[in-house]
Amino acid sequence: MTDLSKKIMNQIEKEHVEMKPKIYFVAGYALLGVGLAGAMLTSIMFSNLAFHRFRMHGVFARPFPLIHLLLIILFILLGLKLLKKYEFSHKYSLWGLVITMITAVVLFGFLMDRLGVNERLSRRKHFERLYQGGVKGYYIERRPSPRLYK
Amino acid sequence: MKKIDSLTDEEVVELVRQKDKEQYAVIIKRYQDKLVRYSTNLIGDSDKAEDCVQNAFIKAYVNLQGFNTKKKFSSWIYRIVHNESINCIKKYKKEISLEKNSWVKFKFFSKDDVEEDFSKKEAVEMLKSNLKKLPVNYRSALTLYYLEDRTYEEIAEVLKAPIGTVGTWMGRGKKMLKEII
Repeated sequence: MTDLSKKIMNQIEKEHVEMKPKIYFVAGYALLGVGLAGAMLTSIMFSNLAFHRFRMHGVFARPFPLIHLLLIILFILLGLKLLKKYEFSHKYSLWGLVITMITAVVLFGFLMDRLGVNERLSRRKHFERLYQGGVKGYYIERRPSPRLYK
Repeated sequence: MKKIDSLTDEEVVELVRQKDKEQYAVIIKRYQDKLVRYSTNLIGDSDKAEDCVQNAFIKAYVNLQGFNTKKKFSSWIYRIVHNESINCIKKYKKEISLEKNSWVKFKFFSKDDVEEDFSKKEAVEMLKSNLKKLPVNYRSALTLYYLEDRTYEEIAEVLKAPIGTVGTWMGRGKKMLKEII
């Protein structure tokens, strides 16, 4: 067998092959974490908005929050793609990760709605449009959380 | 200062990263034979395997700062060589797809206990002569276990698959070997 060590070390020297700096990997992991957290939070937010709509208008809400559901799926898929880049993710089956992410998004979205987060957010200037329209046919009644009436 | 030969792989990597890049040759010498053998078993061509391993070592050098020295270097480098070998297989289209071997499908449900039929020595002999006939995942798992003496955990690290999946690939690969014979 050829001695590869000389070949490889010559190639490294001749072609001036350099190691990528440590900061490259640190920044990469940090961005990955930010991306993953962002994707999960966004899908939870849309899940929360969908639950809010269903609570206000029932399961057959008009218009049906199809865009919310599509965005939930999109951000879950993005989160999954980012999660697979972590070393530990290979220890778990793909379907296990998918089910866990969907469960987390649905559960936290539901809890956010039940805890009155939507009512508080709808009063804030930046989130008003999400709850009071801005898109034709997307107006939502503002009803207080059922918790207040218990 | 400890002699270089008595240092662990991870210690040598740290030395290469911090002080002396020339010591990378030590890492290459430690692993070149094993990795070329592994790559040859996957690809089926020793010349292409050497090229793959050479490229893999260069990639490993470039990304050496990203290696976590708390993990095993052997799993990391095997992973890189595995990926390069897969790329080589795709490039030269030597992979045998499971779907093309339709005769295999109904054999999987045999109730024979494969473990009883195989001793490790028999498995090594069967593997060496019939590797090319196996799909790449089964080939990789069986090669790493029987020819490279890796544990299931290490194989899972190299192939980036759950341990259960590695077990499934091993079981199916052995059944295929049994049917081939």
